[in-house]
Amino acid sequence: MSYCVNCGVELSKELKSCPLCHTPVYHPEKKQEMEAAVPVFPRERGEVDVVGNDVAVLFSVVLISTCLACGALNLLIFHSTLWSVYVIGACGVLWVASLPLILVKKPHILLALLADGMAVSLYCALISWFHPGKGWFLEVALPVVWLCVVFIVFFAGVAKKMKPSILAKASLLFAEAGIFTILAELVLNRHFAGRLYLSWSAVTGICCGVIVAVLVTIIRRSGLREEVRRRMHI
Amino acid sequence: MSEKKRDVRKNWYPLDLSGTVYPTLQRKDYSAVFRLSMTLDQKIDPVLLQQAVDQAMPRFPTFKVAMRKGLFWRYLEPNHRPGPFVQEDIANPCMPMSFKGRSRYLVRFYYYENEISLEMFHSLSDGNGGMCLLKTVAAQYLRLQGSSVSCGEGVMDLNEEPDPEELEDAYARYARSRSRSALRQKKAYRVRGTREPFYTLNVIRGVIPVGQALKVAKSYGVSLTEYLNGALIYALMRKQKSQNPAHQKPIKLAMPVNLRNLFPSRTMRNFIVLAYPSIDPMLGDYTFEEIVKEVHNYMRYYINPKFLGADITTDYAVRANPLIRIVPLFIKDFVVRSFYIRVQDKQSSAGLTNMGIIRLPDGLKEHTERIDILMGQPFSARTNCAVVTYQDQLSISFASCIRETDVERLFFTRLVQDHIPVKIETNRSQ
Repeated sequence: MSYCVNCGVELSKELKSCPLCHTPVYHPEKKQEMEAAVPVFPRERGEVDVVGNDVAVLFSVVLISTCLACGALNLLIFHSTLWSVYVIGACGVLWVASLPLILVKKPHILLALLADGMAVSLYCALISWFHPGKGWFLEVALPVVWLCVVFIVFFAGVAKKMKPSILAKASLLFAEAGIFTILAELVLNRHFAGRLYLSWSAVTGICCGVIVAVLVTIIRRSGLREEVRRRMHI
Repeated sequence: MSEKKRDVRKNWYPLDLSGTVYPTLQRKDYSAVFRLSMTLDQKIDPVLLQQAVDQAMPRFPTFKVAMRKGLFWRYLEPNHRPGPFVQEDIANPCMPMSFKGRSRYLVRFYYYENEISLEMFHSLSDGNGGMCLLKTVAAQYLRLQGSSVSCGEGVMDLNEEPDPEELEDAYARYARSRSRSALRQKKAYRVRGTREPFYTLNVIRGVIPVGQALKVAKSYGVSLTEYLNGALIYALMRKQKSQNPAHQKPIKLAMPVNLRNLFPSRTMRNFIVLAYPSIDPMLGDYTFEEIVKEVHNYMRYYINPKFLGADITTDYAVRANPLIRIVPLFIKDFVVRSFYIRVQDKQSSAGLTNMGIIRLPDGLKEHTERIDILMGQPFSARTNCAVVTYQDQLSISFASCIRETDVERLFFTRLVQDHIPVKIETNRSQ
């Protein structure tokens, strides 16, 4: 029998180090005995049965049948315009957006959000193919969609890695919302008016800024924080 | 209508009071599953074990079931699918148990060398009921091998119909207190650690001689359970002190109490309630002796039919409230899960269960070398401890889904300091 020199516990024969403090077990005379010992616990790992996701199948079937039905109607009966392309595109976006809910193994949140951004961009590209306008896709749709994706990715990343409190999350959310509205208006005004200026987004930006300032003050002052926690508890 | 269909329609079981909570906490990577193991004096024959399981399961109608969803509550319905099938044991016990798995059984049987293990979803029963099933299967296994094993001490007679009392929700019978206890308690210290990836449950088991442990507990003037509770609180206190000495939170253990000892019932289903022995380090530094005394006083004061009756009544009153009963299941699930995550899970630092002394009937006793219990995967990143005594061996198993082993190390080294010899076994990869 071997004992851990650090913890003083006896170790089962097959252990090469103490599981409690990781001190290696060294016994030159019993090396073979240790290796030949039958492990107390099995070594093969098990896996749970993968259960088919009925909702995923049902959801996919509904979307595919909608696409097929609209495509057939467009080709055979209502064929004045290619309207079914919009429906099919929207179904595609819905399907990509619902992937994290329907997949058995959840994809990484960053990948899921990038896929969503890509799907919405492609859908906008599809619409702009039929209605090119004055280059709205490149100047408005693409920047706004990807600004939105960047902000959501940043929020999700901070929430996942740093695990902030509800108040900290709320202040980040309002800060991002304020910045997003300002940037979105700048993009819109540049495209439609040909110059950069702010109007309505200045109001939303200031409102968000005030809320962020209040929240940050509450977070930084423990007395206020406790007061809010006490009054808002559920 | 076939016999099976008639059985399913007639003999369904509402979940008992404790059992209602566990399915709402179900995640893809978490199920409330516990494990009981029995080591025999011979290598297990899987064919005979399967026969024993097939013969024993019909005697336990509340275990041969599948979980189903109703509009307002979940319920258990008789399961006539083939199984449960015995499987070779695995390194990661207490894996999540899907309600829609292949055979839909909520029990699993494993074999490894001389060991038979039973894993059970907690909605079916507590350790007491599970132990009856394991003992009955092991007894039947030995009978099939030609040994003579008598019934009693939890080994059920397979030719006998189940007593209606075995199938009852005993909480309903004893929720009669005129008093109510508080649902919410103070937040407790929570062990922070590096979460292991999915499919990993770290087990560290210490086997100690009962006689020596009892002698030490007696020297402190407390029972063995109180001594072990004290040792775990002491380990958690030292861990917290090393992590955050400035702002220390109360250290509380969630300890299931077997209510059958206080409220007579033969039920095979859940009949436990949680007690919370604790210390508050903000009141001052506690010595080990003081902690053990604190636990001793709490147990003597709190573990009695009056207090525990009030606890059962409080929980039962929530479930029996007509307004709550008519709320659809998906809303109940959301509310119960949120309450558990925000309140219940935060009011204990670790779990500790002591199944006490296991007694076996003649014929089974001679062939059984050891009994172990594992509390299963903790809901949050922490460690759970389960204790069981059989003959002269006390088995203490820690199950955790975090990488660090500080709590286990501090706990077992505390026992070593009291001159209790500890033998350590683990499933952790070295």
